[in-house]
Amino acid sequence: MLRRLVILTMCAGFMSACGSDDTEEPLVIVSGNNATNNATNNASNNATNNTTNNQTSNNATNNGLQPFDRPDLVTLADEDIVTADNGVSQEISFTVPENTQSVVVTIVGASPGSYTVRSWTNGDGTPLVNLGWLATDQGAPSLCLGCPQRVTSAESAMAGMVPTNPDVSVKPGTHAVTFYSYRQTSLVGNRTPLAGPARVIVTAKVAPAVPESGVLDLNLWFSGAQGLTAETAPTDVNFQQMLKDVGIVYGKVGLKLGRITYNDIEGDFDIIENAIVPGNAMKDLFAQSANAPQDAVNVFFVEDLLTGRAGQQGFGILLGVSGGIPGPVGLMGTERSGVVLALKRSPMAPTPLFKVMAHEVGHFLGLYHTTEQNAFGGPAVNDQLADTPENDATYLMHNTGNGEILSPSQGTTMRLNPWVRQEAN
Amino acid sequence: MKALQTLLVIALMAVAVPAVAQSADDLARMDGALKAIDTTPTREALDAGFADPPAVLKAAVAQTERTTYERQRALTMLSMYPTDETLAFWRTLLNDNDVEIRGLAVYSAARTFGQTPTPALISFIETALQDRDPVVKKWALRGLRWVKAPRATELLGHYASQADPALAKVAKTALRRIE
Repeated sequence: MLRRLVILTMCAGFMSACGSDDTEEPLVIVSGNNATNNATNNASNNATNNTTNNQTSNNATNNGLQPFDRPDLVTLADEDIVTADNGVSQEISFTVPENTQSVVVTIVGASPGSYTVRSWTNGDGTPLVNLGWLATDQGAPSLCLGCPQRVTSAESAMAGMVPTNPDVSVKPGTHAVTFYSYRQTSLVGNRTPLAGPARVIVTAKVAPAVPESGVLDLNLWFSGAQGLTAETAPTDVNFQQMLKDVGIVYGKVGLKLGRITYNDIEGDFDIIENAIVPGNAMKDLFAQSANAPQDAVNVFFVEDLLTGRAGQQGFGILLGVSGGIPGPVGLMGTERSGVVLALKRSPMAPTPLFKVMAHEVGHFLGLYHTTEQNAFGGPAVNDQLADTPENDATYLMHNTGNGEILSPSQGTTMRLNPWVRQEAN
Repeated sequence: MKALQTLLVIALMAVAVPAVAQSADDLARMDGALKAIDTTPTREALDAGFADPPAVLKAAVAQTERTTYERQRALTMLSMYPTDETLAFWRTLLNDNDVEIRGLAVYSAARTFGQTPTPALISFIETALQDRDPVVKKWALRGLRWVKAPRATELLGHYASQADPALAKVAKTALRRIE
């Protein structure tokens, strides 16, 4: 499926910048621009980062197309599926081994299709995602509010993760999942089922216990906005301070930033005018992650970010967007593979950039807003976590993004996400 | 006579004060939506929450004590109410002191009304392109991408070949992105 994604000019030719295993500083890998790639020579993308810092035994990229290869991750399924005329896929079943702490199902289709998990049965036969929620749930099709495990939907690619709240856990045994594909026909939720092919990757994180700590690797991508590039960002004092501040926020829940690569975005992406619903610019931007030098969460820095569609359906200006809650796991290069941040807007906003970055990456790792904005008289939509207060702006995942607090449950969710690795891996 | 005038003023205040109070309440309730970093409410949500959403949004834009981002959020959310009044309001923002507000006003107008452009819209954009500040020009050029009129392509072509490399780059990108 992903072979249809455009393979763009790649960054290659890596050089070490700094870092050692015993430092608190993030390891830095600067990715150059001095090589090109195409669909026929993407084996070059398997190059191990030839850095001197090494921890790099597993930081070879996977061409974006192959499931991750990491000791603590198990690919439980990698299947091509088809959704029928009613939008429903065949059932995928997979066996979850003992000591599995989290499972993520990722479905990758193609725009304009939107995808969600229609049903998910745990290893003990209990429902994680209720069959029928798409017809009955108040949040359908965007968000299953009533499911034991909340899931979202997204255009082109989406992921569902278990658990993202402490009331559910992964049970070993046979799991069964079905998906639903549809085309959004208006901004207010009208939809028609969509038939078509998609690819499903199921990734399990196996460990003796829920990890108490973890390391998050990042690929940072620069459009040149505000003068930041792969060359300038590693030594830009303000930018490096921003990364340190992200690390401080995450450090409070046992998460630290690990290997960081710096990459230039190919092409002109100073403004993304259609975030949320991927248009050409958005999907082309995220698709560049297929050429990333390591399997890591991709963070794209552009100048301005807007959401909405053409015409008179309205749009709005934003500070950041995540590719999903959580974002796709197990593959790079999907139209949802990363988060985008607006560099220019942040100084003009009440929320500083480090909080926006921490917030959006938090979404990508599976965190919901603690409270969705409900000032308009509708019911509050809170996350499923008991330890996040309602509508408390001191929390990082409040929708204003201006807090710094992460709750213990939020920390657990982040550390359980397969994007977060153990220090030794 | 003076007593009558006083009575009239008091009567008007009696009418006006609740309206002002309501407006303050509305602005406070809108605050979270304006500060939100990654979501934008739908028109349905706005209509359900406010008697006159465009009036609240315009009032928020006028609050210069707000951050530029919050004012821009309010400004762009008006795109959900594509009326002549909205276009006229955006046009008044060309007099705003904040270049980002001036710029996003013209971009919003172009993006919202560009499918069926009127001479008034083209005039609005051309006026913005005369702004002293390149930030405003940049937003105007970005907006031209959405305007389905030969004049839009003509203007973009002009700027794409002009000396200012930053504006030329924006114009070339906008030309590529014309749908």
